[in-house]
Amino acid sequence: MRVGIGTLAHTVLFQTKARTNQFNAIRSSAAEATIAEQRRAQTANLPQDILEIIIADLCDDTSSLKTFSATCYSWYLAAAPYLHRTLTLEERPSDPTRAELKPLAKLYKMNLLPFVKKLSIRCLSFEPWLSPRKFDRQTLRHFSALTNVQQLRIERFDLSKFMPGIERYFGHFAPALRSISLTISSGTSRQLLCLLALFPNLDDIEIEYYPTTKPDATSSGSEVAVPFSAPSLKGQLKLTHFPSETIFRDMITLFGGLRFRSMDLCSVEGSRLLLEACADTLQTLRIYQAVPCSEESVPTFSDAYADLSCRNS
Amino acid sequence: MLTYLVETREEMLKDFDLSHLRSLRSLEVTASSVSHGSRLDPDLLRDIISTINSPMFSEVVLVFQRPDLYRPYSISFETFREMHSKRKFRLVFCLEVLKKYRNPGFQVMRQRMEYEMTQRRLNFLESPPTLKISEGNPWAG
Repeated sequence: MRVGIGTLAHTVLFQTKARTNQFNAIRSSAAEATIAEQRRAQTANLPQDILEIIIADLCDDTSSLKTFSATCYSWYLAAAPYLHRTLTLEERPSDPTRAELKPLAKLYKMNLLPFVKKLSIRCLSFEPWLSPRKFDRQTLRHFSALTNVQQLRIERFDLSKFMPGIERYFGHFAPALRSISLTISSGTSRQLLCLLALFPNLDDIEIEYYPTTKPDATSSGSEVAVPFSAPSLKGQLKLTHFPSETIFRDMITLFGGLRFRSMDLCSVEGSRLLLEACADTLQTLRIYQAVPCSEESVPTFSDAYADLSCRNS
Repeated sequence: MLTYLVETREEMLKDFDLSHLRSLRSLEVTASSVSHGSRLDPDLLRDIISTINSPMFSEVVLVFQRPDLYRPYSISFETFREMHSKRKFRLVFCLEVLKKYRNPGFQVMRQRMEYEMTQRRLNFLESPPTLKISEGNPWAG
């Protein structure tokens, strides 16, 4: 009888303890959740200027910015413009689902394309992948949603493939584009002029390794194409291995002169013309020594390609 | 087919006649192009700088890009001495690298400048060179 009462008391005590622990656990987790909620509310309610200071510190560190944006929804909203500021479209042999123009569809669906300020179209193979054939109706609609791009870089851009009607593919960059960079691109002077004339707010131009092209009608007075607009061209002009003076003459004629403040000229035909055109505005000039060298040290196409590959690696 | 322009000294002097530039403040040269072992023509920059007429001209900037900081070449400060004899200027050491390389790069550049000063290679200047950091190519890295 005494043993039975003892066992019963032990069972009741055990059950009471278990219930107490369970209650404490629930209370504890509820408290933790409350604290976490309070903290989240506090951080979410940080003043906007404090958030901006934090983001300014993290904006060059994508992994930290991703962690920051995962804190809460309001922080994600604050970080999103910086997280999606730069978009790179390139060949990805190892991952065709994310290659070339394919990332655009997802970003379009999430309405993130207007955040892109800097667009880089990279090409590491000899054959340029960017061509009008890549733009079906849907892809062109997605690409046209990139309306706030300020800096555009295209590697191995074959302009002739987009002519005529280049504005159909690149015209939407017109309001915002300030800077364009073309590396190992090809086309005639007239085609290059047509591209530049699309962007009325263009200030900076960088062109590297522009191949010699056949003379076109650009330089012959009345046959010059009428530009869509006259870019402001008040920033920096950077040219590397640019063997055509024709384009500068046409730019001066059609764009009402040049107003660059800074120039970086390496192996450029027509340097004198450029300097004379910017005599009143040019503040900074970078020059390179290019005294005659032996035949074997003249840079080749492979040098240009190796240089590009090295910079992209 | 890519073709490259290789100018003679006379052609380059003709192209870089800077006498008509009225607002020119600064002339920049990269460290690699004024180093011993490059295709350096010590008189070329001197002759180019002597054409400058701009009243605003005040500085020559020696630009260090990332590879320049770790290459063992030495810069030909004799070129700058020659240039200075033709036109007085302030020498600026400029680091042109991405943000992530700035701190170590700045230390290396400062050490190089201090070394050159102890070697008295910069004693032709009225004031010690200044150091500055530029953003560099926004597309690099």
